[in-house]
Amino acid sequence: MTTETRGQAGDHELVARFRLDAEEFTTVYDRYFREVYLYAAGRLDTQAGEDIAAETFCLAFRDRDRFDPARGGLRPWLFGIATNLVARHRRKEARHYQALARAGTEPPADSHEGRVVDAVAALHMRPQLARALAALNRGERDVVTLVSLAELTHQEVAEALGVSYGTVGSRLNRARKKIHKMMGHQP
Amino acid sequence: MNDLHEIRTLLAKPDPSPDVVARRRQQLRTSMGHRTFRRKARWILLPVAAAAVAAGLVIVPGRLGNAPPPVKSARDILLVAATTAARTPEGSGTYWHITVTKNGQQQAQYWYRRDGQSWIKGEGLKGEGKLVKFGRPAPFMIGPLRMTFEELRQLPDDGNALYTRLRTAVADSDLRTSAGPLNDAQKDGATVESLVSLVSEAPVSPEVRAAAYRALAARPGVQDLGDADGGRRLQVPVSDGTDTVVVDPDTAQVRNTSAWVPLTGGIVHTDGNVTIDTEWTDDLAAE
Repeated sequence: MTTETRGQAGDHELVARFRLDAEEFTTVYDRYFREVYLYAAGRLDTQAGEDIAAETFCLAFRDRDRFDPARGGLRPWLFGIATNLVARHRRKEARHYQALARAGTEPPADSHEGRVVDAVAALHMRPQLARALAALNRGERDVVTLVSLAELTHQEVAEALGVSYGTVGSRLNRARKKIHKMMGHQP
Repeated sequence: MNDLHEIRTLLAKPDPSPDVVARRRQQLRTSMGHRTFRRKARWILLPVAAAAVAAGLVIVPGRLGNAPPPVKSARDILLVAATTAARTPEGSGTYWHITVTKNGQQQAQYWYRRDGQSWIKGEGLKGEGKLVKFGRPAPFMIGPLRMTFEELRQLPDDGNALYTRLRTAVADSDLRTSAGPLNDAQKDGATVESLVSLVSEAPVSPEVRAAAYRALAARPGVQDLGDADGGRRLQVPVSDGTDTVVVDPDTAQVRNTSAWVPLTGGIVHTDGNVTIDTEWTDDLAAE
């Protein structure tokens, strides 16, 4: 008996099902489109995010026989594809962060009363944070956004990007130091 | 400060609209083009057999060369099973509860709500012995067909009408093998698979279960292979050849098998004698 997270166990069955019947691949879409969309839309904008999320699943379907469960999970595999697609839009991503920096004082739509203080504090940080993201290199930004936005574990990020577990940690550390520095904090 | 959390907040976007989700799903389906119906790949289900299991027909791989000569016809056995099924009360409850017992030991349990939401519980399954809500509401897999609970309950309770309904659904379903669309014999076989699914695992009425046994009894090519531990071995023509189904005419159940067709689709083989029991219940396991 192996110890697995629930997501992995569910994905194993999902993979078995779409290998048995390719039409089952739509189940992969049903399970992960939203997550991939929010990741890509978070890094670019909703229109580009939508395009990239859709393309991710079309590419994943085309390459489904190349997916090897022994090398990692379904979710990291999808985010790896999406991350490669995002990389084609480096300028758009930079413009997106610059726009966020300019519009940084707009309150978040879901700001509840109880979070007002937190939200106000965070709002002051937003322009710097957005500029800091723009200043990261591609590898650092991939790791930071996969961890923060897509909520992948370090192991999943390693699988998604095809880098070692240690590389994920070191890129993340470097990125956070840069972010802290740009925001006026000590590392 | 938690910078990663702040980044998430900074970059958060609203969920995609249902319209976007539906439109992009259609785009994917279009790009998927010809659907492939890869029955030959069914062994791939093996490592996840337990997770996929939901109920039970029984397909014993063809290793029964020394079966005793038939003492009565498969038709007789299936008609007896039909009579038994028709007079077995269905019971009532919120959940269709399936218990998989392997070599006398309870191995896994499954609960299906009428909307297709399921829960699973068993050692080695997701949840590791604890009750886990499994996926989201989904159609029931009846052999190669997908049906909602309402569709299952509206199936005809006459054997011939039931066969016709399922055969039409198979013909309309665009099932394919790697060699192309199913030929007529393969469509007949796929229909038999859905019939076997109905008699073994599906939450259908006693009348429909009886009709499924009668429809099986009327199929050419169904043969009695003699006694099995717990029932009678019957050879049935399926979409990619023949398989052996163990039916107990006295309980109208399928038991002591090494393989079966789960409600989630596909055919699962295990290394032990598996019996599947079904019932309606109001209770999810209290764990």
